[in-house]
Amino acid sequence: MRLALSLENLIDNLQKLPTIGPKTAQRLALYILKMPEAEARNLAAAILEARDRIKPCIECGMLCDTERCNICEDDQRDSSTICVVGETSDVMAIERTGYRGRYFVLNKDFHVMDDNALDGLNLKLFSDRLAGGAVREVVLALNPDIDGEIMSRYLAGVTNKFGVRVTRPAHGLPVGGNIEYADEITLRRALEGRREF
Amino acid sequence: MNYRSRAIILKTIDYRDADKLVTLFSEKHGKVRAVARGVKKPASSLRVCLQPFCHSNLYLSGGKELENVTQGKLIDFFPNIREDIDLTLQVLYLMELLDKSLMDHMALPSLYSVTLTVLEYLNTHGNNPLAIRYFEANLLKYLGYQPLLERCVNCGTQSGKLQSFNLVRGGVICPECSKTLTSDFDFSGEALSILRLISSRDVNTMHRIKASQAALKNLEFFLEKNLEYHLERRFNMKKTIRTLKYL
Repeated sequence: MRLALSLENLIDNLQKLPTIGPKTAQRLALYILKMPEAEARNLAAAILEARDRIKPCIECGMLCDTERCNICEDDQRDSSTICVVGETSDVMAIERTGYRGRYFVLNKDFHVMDDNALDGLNLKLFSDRLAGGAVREVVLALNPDIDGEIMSRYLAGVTNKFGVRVTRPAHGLPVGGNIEYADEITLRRALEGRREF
Repeated sequence: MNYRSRAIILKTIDYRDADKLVTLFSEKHGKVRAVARGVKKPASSLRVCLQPFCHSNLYLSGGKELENVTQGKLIDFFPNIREDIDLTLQVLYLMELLDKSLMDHMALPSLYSVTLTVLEYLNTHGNNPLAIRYFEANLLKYLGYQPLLERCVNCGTQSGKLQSFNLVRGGVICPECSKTLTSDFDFSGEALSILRLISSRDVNTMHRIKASQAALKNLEFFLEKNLEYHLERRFNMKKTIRTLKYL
């Protein structure tokens, strides 16, 4: 059966979103059509507004609706430490730990085996912050996979030129986890990084 | 079709929210593309055995388009390679070579065995450019592009200076034949001897071979050019390695 063109178009567009398959896209499209008109317009307006207003912070790259994000605006934060993360969602995770330093968000999906993997990185912004002289430590908190390791190496190379200390979070066992079920790589690194008790 | 096979993970890419698309080089079925569902979740037991260049025992089941990785057990994750980022980059280059040269579902058990031996060698002995060159030379051999180095590929003579290489003919050419055939590459005497040596030896003897930096560069350039010519592909990892090297 052929659907109305506009409905088909809506389903196709919803399907482009992550985790949305054809059936979910169809269910969402039909739900949107059943919504009161005002709600549907609000949803469309909210998408457009967020798309127009949310931009990377000019200092750290985190997505925000002002020129500088509220973390960069906060004078109480420790400007001597910069935590480098891949995405804005990583900032939210690290904020929950009580970290009070600054951030630098790469906003780039890096895959080492892709063509031009290292292109498109805004490293001038990063270098400018290091050149300012206030930074004493850079924490490379990228994903602990091959891509994250290689990107960390790349950024460590850039950071070393400024004589700034480079660190990264420890690898270890999750709280509440079970040693029996821990994978070999994590367990090995956890043992290597053991501390005095 | 459901089967179990040992496999080396060539690459993984994100697929949907928690899944990954895995390209692997299996012992029994050659290069296979499969979906690993839920593998990005922290509790996934498959996560560790699907890291690039891990050697794992995997259970695969046939899907509509792609196969599915249903279970897996890690055999070796080559910890010493992972500790050395330069070596990791070199090994990722080997994985890219395999990914770009192998056809799906074409079993090559001998090449599989060579790959495994090279990974084990690098894990034990650390970074050795000759082991990488050994792999490249063997890859050319198993793909059917082994260069002819002992005699002139055109007239068959074994005498004279055989240091020019013709890519189209796939072998060295004598000074006489190089008047009519293009010389795409000029070997140094040392590089040619090393290439002959690594083509006939086992990888475990690579650390006993002494080579100058100039000969290693000559050899690297030759094998890269040869692979690019035959596979008609460029290798992204080479570019990344060079960028990182000159930082």
